[in-house]
Amino acid sequence: MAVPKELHRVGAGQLFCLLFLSRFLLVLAVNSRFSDGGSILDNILSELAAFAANFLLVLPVWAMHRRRPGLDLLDQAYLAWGKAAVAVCLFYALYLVAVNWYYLSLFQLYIGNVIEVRTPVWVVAAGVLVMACYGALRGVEAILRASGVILAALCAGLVFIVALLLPKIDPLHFEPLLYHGPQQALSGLVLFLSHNTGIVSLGLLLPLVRGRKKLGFAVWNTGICVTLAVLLVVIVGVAGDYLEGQLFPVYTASAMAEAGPFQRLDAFYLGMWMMGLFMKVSFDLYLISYCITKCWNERAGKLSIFAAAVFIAAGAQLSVVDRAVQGVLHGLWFFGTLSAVATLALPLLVLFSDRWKAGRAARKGGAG
Amino acid sequence: MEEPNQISKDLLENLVALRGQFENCMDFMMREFCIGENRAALAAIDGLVNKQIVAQGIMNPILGATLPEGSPQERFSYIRDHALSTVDQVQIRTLGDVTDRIFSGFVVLLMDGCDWGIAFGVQGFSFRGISEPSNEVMQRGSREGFVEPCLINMSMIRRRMRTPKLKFEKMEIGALSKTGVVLCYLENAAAPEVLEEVRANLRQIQEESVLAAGYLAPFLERKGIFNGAGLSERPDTVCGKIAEGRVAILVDGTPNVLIVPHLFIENFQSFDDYAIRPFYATFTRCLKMIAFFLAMFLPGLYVATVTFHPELLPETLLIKIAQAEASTPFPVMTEAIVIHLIYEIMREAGLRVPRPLSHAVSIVGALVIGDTAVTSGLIGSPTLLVVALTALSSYATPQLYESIALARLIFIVAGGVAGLWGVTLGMAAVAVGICAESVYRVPFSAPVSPFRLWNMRDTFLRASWRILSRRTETVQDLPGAHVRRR
Repeated sequence: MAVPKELHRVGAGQLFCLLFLSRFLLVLAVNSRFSDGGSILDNILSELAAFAANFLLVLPVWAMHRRRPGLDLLDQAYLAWGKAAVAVCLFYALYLVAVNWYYLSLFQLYIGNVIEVRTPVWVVAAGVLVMACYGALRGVEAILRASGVILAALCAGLVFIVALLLPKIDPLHFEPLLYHGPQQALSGLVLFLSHNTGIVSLGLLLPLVRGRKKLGFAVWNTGICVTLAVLLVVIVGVAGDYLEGQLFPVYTASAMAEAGPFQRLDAFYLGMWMMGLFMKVSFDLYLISYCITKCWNERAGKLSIFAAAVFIAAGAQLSVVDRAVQGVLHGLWFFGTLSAVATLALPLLVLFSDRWKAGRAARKGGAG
Repeated sequence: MEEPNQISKDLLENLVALRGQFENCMDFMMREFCIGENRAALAAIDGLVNKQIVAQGIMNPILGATLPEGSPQERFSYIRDHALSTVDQVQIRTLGDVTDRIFSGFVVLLMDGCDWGIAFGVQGFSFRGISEPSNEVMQRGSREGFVEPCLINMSMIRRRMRTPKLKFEKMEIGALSKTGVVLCYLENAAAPEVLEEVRANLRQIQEESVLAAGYLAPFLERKGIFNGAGLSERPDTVCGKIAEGRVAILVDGTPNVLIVPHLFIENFQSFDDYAIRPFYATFTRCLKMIAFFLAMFLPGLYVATVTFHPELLPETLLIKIAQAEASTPFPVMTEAIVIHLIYEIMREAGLRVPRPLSHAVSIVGALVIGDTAVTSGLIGSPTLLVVALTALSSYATPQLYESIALARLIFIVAGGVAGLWGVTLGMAAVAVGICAESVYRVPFSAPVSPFRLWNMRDTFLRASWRILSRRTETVQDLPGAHVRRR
């Protein structure tokens, strides 16, 4: 398998900053309509369950890393299955393309339905993708270094908005958890797990990571859970039932924040989403090129960045204009299945195949 | 067998060769005289040597010396070892060396019957005296700034770092100008890889002439919008940087010294920060960072907000802006671009115009832009205010001026065409651009990203010297640096 050139080791802190950004994006885009429209507060339970599930889901990837620390998921698939591992590389590249369809189309829906910019929505998407290609071409170190800076800006923006919303919280807006049944909590759990590419990213990049990976993972997982819980409590406390009719509840709540004479601060929300999306797409495009480089060569990897960007643009645009595609892409089963395969099934298969091959070799060696 | 350009034993042959090389050079001086029964000649360039020292330190002792009997070689050796009172003298053997030395302000003495010569360092050309740097003004600290001759600049650095570990390595760059370039570093601080990379970068330069430090900068820095090679006119600043493991490049004939590796955060630091009290230095650093943000993004954000998101503005401010813009014929984006261009033209004119005319330029600029354009209704006063604030802010970080001047035009267009999402996307791209680069294997964005808390003591903050002096860190110790420590 071809090895991408100029790969430096990356710090665990930087990687988890970026993964935090990726999941933070999901938090910003929490969408009542696409997640069954129950009580938004129940998403706290979903996130708590996702928090616990993530510790379990990472185990296969972690076991693979412990077994062969210098090899990533794709290399280990190659060891286990030989040239058939090309299919694994392609699967992960396509999986990442599909995930970015989702994120970009969600952003396009937000821009088109909520912000209503004068620029055509597809131009906005194209702008994001062009910049994301630039980011991906600059390499993983550049993206990860920038993620730290952007995460700091995002956190500052979030703290600012939350601090401005705190005085507006009305305790009467809170309902007991699971008041409308467990449906919302369950669909929220699937939503949070199915759109999380963090574990796949770890599978691909763990060999390059130096530093305290276990601690980083724990802080990342806990941090995002706490952030989401705080955000949900604040927005529900501010707007209550009103949010359930809103397409993007976090946006609606952030638009209610006021700071002195400034009565609309939703621009912060737009800025946070835009920056987060840019980093997420850049990183995933880089990972796509990483997968393709493993199959073929560096040149193909670089070209795949542009090809993937075109696919993402086309897919996202299609899901914006075609309601049937939108239903599939934003439904839970599609990404639920894909993510189950990418995060759990494939790493487990690779791990077991490798162990089985090793065991067979040991038996042969013993017999010899 | 003699080498083709070896100094000949026949003085006449040497003189013919030299006269041939210096034909039509009216500043070339040749003085022929006799040492005993042997003919001799002194060659130099008029204006590069101190004629008084030549007369008193070379000619008088030679002509007044009692020479021993013997061969011309023995007599010449006697003159070299016993007769002369000059300090800096070198024995040379080729005609190439003769011309090189002559161009460097040496006087060369040749004697008939000897296949070697003596070059005396008696440089005496005029140069600007040491004065306060005009582009790097500081409130505290030394008033000395670099001057054009490299030797004097070296002496200014040496006076501040009295250690043999301070090294000066000379190179010559430029096929025509043969400009002296000196690498200056602290042996125990600079990383060998960084030094080797700097040497290699300088060696690959194929320019005909090097007339300023800016000729070398592109070969030493990264290809990005922000500068990867620092520039300083102050010996104290250069000494501080050298102590941190950086390499200074002195170029003969220019008062600016290049410093590599240069990190992004250094654009917000100045020598004054270390001479004033820490809390105020921290405050000024934060101000500079805010000024950078304003200078780079404010016009773009203003255009985006006014054009696409007026709901973000407080009501009273929005009404004022709307009133001002209602009377102007152009969109806000066009206004902002035009005023910026006019401002840049004024600035360029103010820089290049002869000093007596600079007041006229200022008056015309202030009247045309500040008053007439607004009263005639061509430009809105809020836009003018934003541009004025931007212009002021950009001078808080002078090293970033060029990058900011161009980038803000791009941000104005992004804000005017796409609104806040365009500006935000641009900001993220700038962040990636800064973070993507490495200068001499050190991340350009260090120590902010990769982040290290300890390094914050001299990044956003300027801690007290009690804390700073606890541990001296070199540039290769920064997080993410792929350079081994000494």
